Amino acid sequence: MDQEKTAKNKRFNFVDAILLIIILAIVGIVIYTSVAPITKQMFSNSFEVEYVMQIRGVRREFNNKITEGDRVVETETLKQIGTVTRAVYSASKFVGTASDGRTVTSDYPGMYDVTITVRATAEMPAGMYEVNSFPITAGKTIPFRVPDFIGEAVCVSISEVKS
Amino acid sequence: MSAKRRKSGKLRFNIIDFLIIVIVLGCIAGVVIRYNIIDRIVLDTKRDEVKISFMVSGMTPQIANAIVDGEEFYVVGTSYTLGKLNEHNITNARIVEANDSGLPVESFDDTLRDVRGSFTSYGVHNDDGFFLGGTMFLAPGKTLTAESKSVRFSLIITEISRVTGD
Repeated sequence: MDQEKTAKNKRFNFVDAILLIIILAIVGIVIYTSVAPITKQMFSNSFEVEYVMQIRGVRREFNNKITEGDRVVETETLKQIGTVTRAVYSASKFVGTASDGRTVTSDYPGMYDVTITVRATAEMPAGMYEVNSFPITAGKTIPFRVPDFIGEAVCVSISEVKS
Repeated sequence: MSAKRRKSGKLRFNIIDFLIIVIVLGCIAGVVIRYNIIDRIVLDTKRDEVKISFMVSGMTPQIANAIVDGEEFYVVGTSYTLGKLNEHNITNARIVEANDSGLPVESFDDTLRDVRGSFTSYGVHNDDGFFLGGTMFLAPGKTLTAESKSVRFSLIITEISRVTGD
């Protein structure tokens, strides 16, 4: 009777099946989270790009809030889309009309245009540049944030960085 | 074997129970790591005191006069407390117009007001910036609507500086 009991205990049962499923699931999750990104990176065609964004008419209060080394985050998806390599502040232009009808262009007091150069790793999965799966093209308005500023900028150019 | 003994034998803690407990704990640990739950809890409890400076351009004088120092303000449309208004000052609204030569000239409109002031707020201030209440990102350039018991207005944040914190 003891032999019969031992044989019964060794039989593959329902609990063993559940355990096996749980273990397989855990192994699957571990492989998916650790190995998948590495293989994706191995087979991806990523390359370095630099794109330039412009903000027009920024108040003097925001002067120098965007600085080199700031990480750029797109505010709708919260995806990181590169690092600021350069931010140039220049006086905004004021276009006025003189009493004789002439159009006069001069510096706008207290207002600046900001030109931001951002470097990032990009891919081109569907014929256009994507940084962290966020498409970036010239002419696109990008809502973004850096640690000390939040706003919108228009991308004016994007190009691959030759290594 | 009596029924009582068989029953107590069934309830005994065995290797399978142990394995299940280990696996369940492993799953919980995985979820915690995956969703950075510990970081979030730490972020929520860490409180830095900051001074949030703001400005409002071209406000109606009646609304500007309804702003009271010391009142608690909230961010409209959210559950976030912006903080206590420390101080504010009201000036005639600054405008820029072209003169006869087409050049910009700064002047002041006495029918409208510019308001500048600051709140004392709490949140997390780290390398990524300031998070009101630990989660709502705020930075200079952010426009939001603030409301107290007596007034509501839209403002733009001009500066966030840390007062105290780690």
